[in-house]
Amino acid sequence: MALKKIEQRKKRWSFIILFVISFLWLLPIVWVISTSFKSEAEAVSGGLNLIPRDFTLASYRYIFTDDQHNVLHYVFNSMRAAGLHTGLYLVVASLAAYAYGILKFRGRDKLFWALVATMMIPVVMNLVPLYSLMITFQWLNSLQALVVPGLGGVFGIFLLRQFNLGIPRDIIESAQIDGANHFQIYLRLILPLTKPALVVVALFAFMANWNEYLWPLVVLSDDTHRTLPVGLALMQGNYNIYYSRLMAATTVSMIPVMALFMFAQRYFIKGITMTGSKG
Amino acid sequence: MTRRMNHPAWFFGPYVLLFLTFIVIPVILAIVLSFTYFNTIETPEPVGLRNYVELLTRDEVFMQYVLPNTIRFAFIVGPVGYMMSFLLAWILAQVPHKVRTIFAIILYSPSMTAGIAMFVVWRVLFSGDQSGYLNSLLLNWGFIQEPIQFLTSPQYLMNIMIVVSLWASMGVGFLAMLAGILNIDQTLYEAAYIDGMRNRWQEIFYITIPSMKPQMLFGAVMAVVGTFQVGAIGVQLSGANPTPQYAGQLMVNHIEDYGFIRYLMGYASAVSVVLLLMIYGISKVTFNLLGEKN
Repeated sequence: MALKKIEQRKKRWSFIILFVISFLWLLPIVWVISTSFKSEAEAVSGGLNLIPRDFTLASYRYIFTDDQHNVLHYVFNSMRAAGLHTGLYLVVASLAAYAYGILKFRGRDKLFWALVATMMIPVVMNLVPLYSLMITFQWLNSLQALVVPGLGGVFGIFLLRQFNLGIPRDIIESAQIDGANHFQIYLRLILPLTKPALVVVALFAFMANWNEYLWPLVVLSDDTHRTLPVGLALMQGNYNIYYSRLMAATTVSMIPVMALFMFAQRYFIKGITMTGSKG
Repeated sequence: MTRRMNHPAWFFGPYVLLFLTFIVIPVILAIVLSFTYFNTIETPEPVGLRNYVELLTRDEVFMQYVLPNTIRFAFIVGPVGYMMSFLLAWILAQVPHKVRTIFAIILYSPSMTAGIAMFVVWRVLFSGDQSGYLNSLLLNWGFIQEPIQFLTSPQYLMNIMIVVSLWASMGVGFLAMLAGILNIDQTLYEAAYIDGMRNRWQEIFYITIPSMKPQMLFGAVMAVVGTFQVGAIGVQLSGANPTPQYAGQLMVNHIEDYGFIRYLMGYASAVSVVLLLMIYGISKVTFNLLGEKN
């Protein structure tokens, strides 16, 4: 009885708190979207109204046709870089996670935890040496510079390996008895079984690459491969007081990640549940 | 053939190669460079400990602003963000599945869209002229006579940075903790209530937290690493590096300033080694606090 009462009270308060916090959390994002549909005059006049008084697509028309900083150009660049990066990372990471989670070899776990320890290294520490490396490879202002260096990241391997550890050993052993080699097991058994984790890793890899600001800023000096975050920063300088245009560009930049997340969310809890559950 | 294909090196080989090239070698290079003078054009010239000595004894900006700012920022955003993540994850676990997913996505959304994109909102909101929304509101309501320079005055910038960072602090750690809480065997709670547990604080401290130690640790390390690595925010909000009177200057900005504005790469590397040592030290302390040996 007492338990039931506590449960009910807990639920009611949880809802109240979540509603208030979600409102605060969403407000800035909703406000960006709403401002992007306002006219510049209305946007600058300082209305905090969430519904535009005169609804207009003028800002979108402007940023899609702007010659100097065209938002579609940046979207395309970002999509290409983040898409390539994600695809490559999935291949490399799932292979490595197979080695660290399924295969058995001497020093396996020591090697793995050494990898994980490097997650502590601040990204900015590698900035200077990686920049010199890019000069040596002659990769400045190239697509490779955006795609390849991030492939060394540990996070995805960590998540996939934890997921692999949860796969029952006898499935793998019976496949081996049937004469499958490890590549076949990896392709036909492990990849389908770890789909939720793969989706989560893909999403994180895409998001990290998509939102990266400092690195593209440092390695790109012209507009050819320039990605959205840097483009947005440039627009912020250029449009300055054109709030509506700024917000329109921001809205466009949020859409792909949001869409991917919506698509992936049903895998999400499943995919991340295994993280850290075994060690 | 099959036997050879079974070798583990086929599986970890490609990754380890990338890992060595883009993480291990750069870190070693950074440490080596920190003992040199290097301007990216001439070959690095060894200078021994000079960079470190300079950093610790002569760099007034570092000692007076950058270091205290970084510590203040990290010690507020780290623990507060961590506790908020845990509490919100716990609250989320109390509501039914469908609603939970929606709320979880909302709370996580700032981390998704964060980066540069959202700074524009805060810029406009806190802008120092009359078109800044907060200023125009305060002026209209008669609270102030003159617009406040939120983003260029030292007393406000840091606080705004902290608020914005907290808003975006429900990240990976938060998701992992949510998953951890959802994974706890519900019968544990029932048994504990039968044994005389009386309220939800006891529930949290005696059942929830002990049952999800790995996720708590993961979240903690993410919080430490995350907050010390923050850099773009102050520069983006104020629109300048260095930030006005160094009020929002963090370690990462100091590294950018020396590395990519003044091209003193050796010195910048020394600062980054110090940053690594700080993160390492504080992670260790965090682990000890949370009572884990490794």
